[in-house]
Amino acid sequence: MTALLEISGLEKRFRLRGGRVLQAVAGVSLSIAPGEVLALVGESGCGKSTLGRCLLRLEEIDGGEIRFDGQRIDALRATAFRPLRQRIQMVFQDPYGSLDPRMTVAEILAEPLTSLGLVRNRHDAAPRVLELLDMVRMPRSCVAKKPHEFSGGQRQRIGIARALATRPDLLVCDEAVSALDVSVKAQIVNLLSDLRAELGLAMLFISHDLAIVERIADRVAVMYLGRIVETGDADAIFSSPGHPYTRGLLAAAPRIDAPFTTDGLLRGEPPDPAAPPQGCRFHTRCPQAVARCETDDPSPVPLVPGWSVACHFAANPVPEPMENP
Amino acid sequence: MPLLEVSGLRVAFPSPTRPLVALEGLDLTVEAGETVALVGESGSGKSVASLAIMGLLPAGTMVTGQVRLNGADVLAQPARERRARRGGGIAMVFQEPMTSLNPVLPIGRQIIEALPDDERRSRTAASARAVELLASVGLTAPERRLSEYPHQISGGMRQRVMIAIALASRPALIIADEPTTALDVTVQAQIVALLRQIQDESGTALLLVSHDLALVWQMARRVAVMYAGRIVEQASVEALFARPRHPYSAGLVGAIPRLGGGRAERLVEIPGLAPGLAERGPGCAFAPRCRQAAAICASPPPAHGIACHFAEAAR
Repeated sequence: MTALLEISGLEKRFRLRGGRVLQAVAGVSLSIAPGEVLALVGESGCGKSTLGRCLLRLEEIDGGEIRFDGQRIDALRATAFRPLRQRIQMVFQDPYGSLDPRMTVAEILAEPLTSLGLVRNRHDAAPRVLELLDMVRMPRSCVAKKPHEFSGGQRQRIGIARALATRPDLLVCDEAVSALDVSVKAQIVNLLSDLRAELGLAMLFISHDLAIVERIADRVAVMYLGRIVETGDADAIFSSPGHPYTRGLLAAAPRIDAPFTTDGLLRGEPPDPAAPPQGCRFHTRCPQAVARCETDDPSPVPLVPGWSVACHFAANPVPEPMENP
Repeated sequence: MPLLEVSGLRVAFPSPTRPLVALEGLDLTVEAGETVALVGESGSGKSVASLAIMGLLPAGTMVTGQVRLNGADVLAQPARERRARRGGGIAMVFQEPMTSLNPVLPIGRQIIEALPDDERRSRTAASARAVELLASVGLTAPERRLSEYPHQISGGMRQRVMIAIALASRPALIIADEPTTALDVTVQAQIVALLRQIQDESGTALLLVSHDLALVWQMARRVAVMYAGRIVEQASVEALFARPRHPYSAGLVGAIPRLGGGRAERLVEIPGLAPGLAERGPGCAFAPRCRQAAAICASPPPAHGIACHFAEAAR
């Protein structure tokens, strides 16, 4: 199957004060098939949100390629990108910050349609607005309300409805449920699963929450300091993680079915992304690092088709007792 | 006698129309060395409860009821005396170390200021104690840290410093309000390990205030579930997860995504939303979201035990 989205060698750098350079995305290659949910997981500062923003051209990239439906989109001029823009939409973490507080729900949901020229005016958008509210299980009567009249979960529903307005093929969800309360989080995760099934949406689901990711993802890509360290089927990665960082993330994920253990916990914190370690970027926290890891940067090694791990030990894993597989 | 005994704690905020009740008659005890969790979602009143116990609510807030620490009424004491001058008091760890640490003071001074009076008399002894505390929370090169400022260290280290400051006063009880929420997953687990280790070693009691049931599972033996300003259920952690008795607790336990649950399993939803402060009436605040709700739920739920009219029937 041809990929809906194909990223290869993507690079994004930010210039910091004092002339330092932060390489937020350091040569990332990924693909998403039509209708597939790829979760991008990692800790703060790993570059996962920047990568998502690059797909929507909210950031211009410094290297590599982004292809959408076979067409290169990273170098397109703004006018040429516009027709594609409606096919890639984004759901943000903070629905309050991303919804204009002065606009009504009807205006918020019509805005992507009018600004991309899909309807002539707001009046023509009205039927679609009602349809969108139905899709996200919000009462039609809320069209005249403004964002402050809603709870966090309701605002996130409106954020999702806005993202769906243009009938996208790909939804980039950046920590879309992270800020929500437990009971509401469950509602939104279930809603996203339903919408995905109803609409055949593909998603890039950016999250640090592995338990949520397991619920929604077909495939997982694990990111650390600008690099993808492991990518593969969600089932495979959750049951037998191949990269020591993935194992550390899984060991640290809070569980409610087993006693707390410090086994497998990573030491330290992610290093400053503006000064990543030489060699393998993970070696400073890796429980199995050897001298080679301090100098040689491992390339992704395919274990089976579609599953690759960027670790010198990936092909010959060091046998380790698995905690909480 | 329990270490901490909260009874009938009620907190209301003044408003132009009528006082808004954030906490409606909270009863809670913590034994010496015990970890109790106060769990609830935003607006449940859990943070208001912890601030009320600490005496940190803004002036003008109407606080009634009793908070006893080792039998002494804490609310009756003037705020200055409440600070743990002689050890054995209550210390607090907040969610956001960056906002609760003083950005313009070196870390060492912030720890020394929290020491009990008799440990601050000698400057060298105070510094030595600060180094010891920083080492005990797992900071490397603790001597060097004394002169560093909060912005010079990572988020996880800042939370360790906050814990060191809390320990400095030799408290009998630490109240930790979402102590890991602002941290990365791998660092969260380290802080959980640290808090557990401190408890094992020092026997300090812990009141953990959190929305995170997984954290509660990892840390606490007993748990009180809060909803809309009330404790709706108190139980041992094992009992709560195995047999939640209040419909809200049951919803909350079902809504947690469990690692290893796979993709097929759908999360249990609690429909609707928690009521705001101004929307609460005398009846059960959970009734509008409750599948079992009936006419009787318009009257106040039982004040003791499970706050549900059907709790006994459901047993």
